[in-house]
Amino acid sequence: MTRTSNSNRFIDPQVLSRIRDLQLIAKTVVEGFLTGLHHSPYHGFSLDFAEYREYAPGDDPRRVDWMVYARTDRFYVKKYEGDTNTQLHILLDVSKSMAFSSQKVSKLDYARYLAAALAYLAMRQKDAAGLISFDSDMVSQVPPRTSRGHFFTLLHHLEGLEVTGKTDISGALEKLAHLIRRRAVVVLISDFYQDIEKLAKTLRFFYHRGNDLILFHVLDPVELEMPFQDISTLEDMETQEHLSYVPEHSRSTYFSLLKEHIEGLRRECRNIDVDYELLNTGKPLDQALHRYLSVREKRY
Amino acid sequence: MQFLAPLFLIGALAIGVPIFLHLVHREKTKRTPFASLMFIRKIPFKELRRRRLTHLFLLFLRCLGILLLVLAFGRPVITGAWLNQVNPLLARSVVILIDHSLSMTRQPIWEAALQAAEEKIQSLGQADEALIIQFGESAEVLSQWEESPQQLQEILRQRTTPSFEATSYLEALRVAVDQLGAARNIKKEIYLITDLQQAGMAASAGWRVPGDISVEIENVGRETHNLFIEDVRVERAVFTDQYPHTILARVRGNPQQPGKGEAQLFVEGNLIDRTTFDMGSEGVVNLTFKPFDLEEGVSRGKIVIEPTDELPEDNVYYFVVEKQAPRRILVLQDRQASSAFYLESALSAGENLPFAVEMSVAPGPGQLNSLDTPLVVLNDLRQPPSLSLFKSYIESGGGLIVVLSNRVLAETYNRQWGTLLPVELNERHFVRQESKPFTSITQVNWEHPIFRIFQDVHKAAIASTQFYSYWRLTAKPDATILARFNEGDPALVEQSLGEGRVLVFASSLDPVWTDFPLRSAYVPFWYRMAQYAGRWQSTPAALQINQVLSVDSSSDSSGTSGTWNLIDPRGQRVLGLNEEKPGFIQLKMPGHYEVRSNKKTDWVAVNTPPHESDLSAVAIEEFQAVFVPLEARVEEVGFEQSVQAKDRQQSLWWLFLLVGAAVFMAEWLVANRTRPQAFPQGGESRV
Repeated sequence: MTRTSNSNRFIDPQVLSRIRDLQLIAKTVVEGFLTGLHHSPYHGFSLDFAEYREYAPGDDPRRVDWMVYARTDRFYVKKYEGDTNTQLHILLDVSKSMAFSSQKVSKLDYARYLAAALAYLAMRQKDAAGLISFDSDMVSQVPPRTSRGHFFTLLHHLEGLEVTGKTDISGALEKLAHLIRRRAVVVLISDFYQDIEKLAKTLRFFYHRGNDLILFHVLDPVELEMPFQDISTLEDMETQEHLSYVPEHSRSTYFSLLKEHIEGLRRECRNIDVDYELLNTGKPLDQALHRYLSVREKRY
Repeated sequence: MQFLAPLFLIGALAIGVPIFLHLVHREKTKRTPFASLMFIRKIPFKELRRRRLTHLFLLFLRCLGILLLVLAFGRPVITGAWLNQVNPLLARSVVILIDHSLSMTRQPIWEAALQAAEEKIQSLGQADEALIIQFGESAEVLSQWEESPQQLQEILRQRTTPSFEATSYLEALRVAVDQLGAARNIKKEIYLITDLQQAGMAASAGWRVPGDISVEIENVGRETHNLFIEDVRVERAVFTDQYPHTILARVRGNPQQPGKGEAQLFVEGNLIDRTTFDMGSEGVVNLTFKPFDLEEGVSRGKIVIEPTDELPEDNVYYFVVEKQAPRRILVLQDRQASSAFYLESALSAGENLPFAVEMSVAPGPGQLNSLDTPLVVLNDLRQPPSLSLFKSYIESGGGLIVVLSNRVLAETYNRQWGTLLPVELNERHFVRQESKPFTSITQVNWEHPIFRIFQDVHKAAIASTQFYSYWRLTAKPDATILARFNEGDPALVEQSLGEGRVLVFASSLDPVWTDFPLRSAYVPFWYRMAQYAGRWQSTPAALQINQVLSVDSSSDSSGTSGTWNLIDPRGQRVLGLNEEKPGFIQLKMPGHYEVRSNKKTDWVAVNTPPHESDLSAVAIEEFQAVFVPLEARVEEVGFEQSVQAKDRQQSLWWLFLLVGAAVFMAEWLVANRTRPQAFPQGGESRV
């Protein structure tokens, strides 16, 4: 049995783009996701119920939720712990390249939905969620809190985000490093148009400070597929430079460089035990939520 | 190229639409925002240029497609001249053959022929070339290969003239084919303008126009009633004071339209006789005219028939009669001989005798003169006369016939006349003493003037003659044997000596050695022998157009040439010659030609060819069947064919439509491959 179900349609970014309320989006995404994990999320939830995590050797087999297994082919066990006291820092790239969209949902929109969903999930798990937006520098910050009202502050902030300048993740993260003092889960959402070596250096710095790092690499389907069939003159959204694009000549070079870039990112993340997930803005968000839960589980 | 619906051509302005869209589209696709150019590399310029050329090619296809559609709706009509300009392979080499024979001189046929030729010249394309030939019995090339229509028109107007000649299509087509052999273009054409007269079809001899030359026939003729003098029987030489015969004239008309007419005979402008005739249903009537008195010398005559018609030239027949003194033939024989009786009787038979036979034992003083005595016959003389006397006589133009019979002493002849005679006498040969009772002449040169009259139906008259005895002869190397006996021995031998001739007959004139004197062929044989040996040529009373006049012979009977002139029937000098041997002249006009020489004035009558007066025409299919192979035929344009031809000319629109559709199909394919898509869906990630 596959995990695909009717509930997944609520996580489809094309569907979400029709919903204007970010809170509703976050709730829809997370509840839909959780419904995917358990057909009735409210019945099994007692006050003691904390969260699901993937089964690991040594777990009590009686805690395995067999209904979830039947739906997902994966072993999940229920946790009934109380407050985990985890801090979630969502670092969101708001450089101009994030405004690119070939569909209704831009990369920034997609990142916004993802951030809201993660914040909602964190709120449900009594985690403290904070948000920092950046381009080449920090643009705005919402410090992590656990109160229910903080979630709405965070959503309000997310709704107000706009693209600003050029991407400089390394420069921005170095400046942000002092804001994340204790060990936390750091989620970095960006299109990563950045030199890998420079970025890897920054990631190592974060890793060595004891943070769990998750990189969500958000790309538009056009960036991934490059379906232009005619000669075009492409203009860089950040620098306004332009170059001619000739499919027969440019496409293979583009894919080769993009693949090399992504593989480089994966390799560097693997080297420092950082989670990396490539996200296609044309596809649902559950993949990202799975990745977050996996990291959260590893931590506790 | 013309258009039946030219208003549709306004639609060509629609090509502005793709041009406009092309320009607008270029502006729109100039900049496409993209997240980052981090993975885009700069493209070499030539690659860009190639792509831009693709755009231009698309634009070209769109414009071409629209133009083709517009042209298709405009209903183009294509013409031959335009095609020639477009495609050099369609350029033609055209021979314009204009019939200028007598039958074409009728009005308005000649004007129609010139008009047809002009129209043909006007239809020539720029790459075409043409050549004009006018023909009757013979063909005359009037120009070189010309490309300029103006030059051709000028040649047509200045050099084409109607003639009085007969028609010969064979000669004309052969000359045209010869000229096309030197033509420049691959496509060759003969444009024949004629009245398709049946008389011109004679003697095609199986020859045909080659298949790669197309033949187009423009029939400008029409069959009309024509009354004409087909033939007149009249002799030029007259040896009496009055014309000895009845002049016979055959008049031919249209059997479908019998009618009455009148014929008049004039001599030297004086009306001699007139007669009326009633043209019966047979279309032929024979007329006779009474004899008339003659003055010394040459008299000009003509027969005129009425009513006149569209072809008046053949309603008059011109002739010439000449009163001459009879020519003396001196027959020498021994007193004891009597065999010349048969010869004398033969040459004295009938009226209007050209000969006067005189019997003698030996020639009198001054008798051996070739002018006074053109012929001498030695009949069975035992011994030959003085050699020197006869030798000078023959060399000056005299004729000698030696008849060998029983009294002849062979040894004497061989010894005394060995240098004069063309033969050597051997022995008498008596056929009766052998198994066969007689022999006959079996090998004859039938083409020789002496035997020509026997050639067709009277060969038996010679071959059946029985010879009981003859002299066995050995011909000298320079001699010509005209007839042989069955045994191979010469029967008649000829040799020229100076201006004269010597003939030797191996048997007798009397019925002792042969039964020839009792045969019907005897008189005509000796008549021809006398004419030939005496160099007496009978001149016809009239010639036909294009027949040749031997100026040499007609200039002076004495054989001496001098200054002379030829005056045509209009009184204009045709040629004035002062040459040793002026040769032959073709006579081109009906009427009386005057030949003036130093010593006398002669006249020659010339008439139109009678078969040219028969205006019967052949169907074009019959003409083609004789001269034109199937693949070379260009049919006369009838109404239905005209419609089909016009339809073919106008059917070009669908070709434009098809090509236009093909162009748009190509545009669709090219555009689908290169059409810009801002952010197309359904791509496949290669990452």
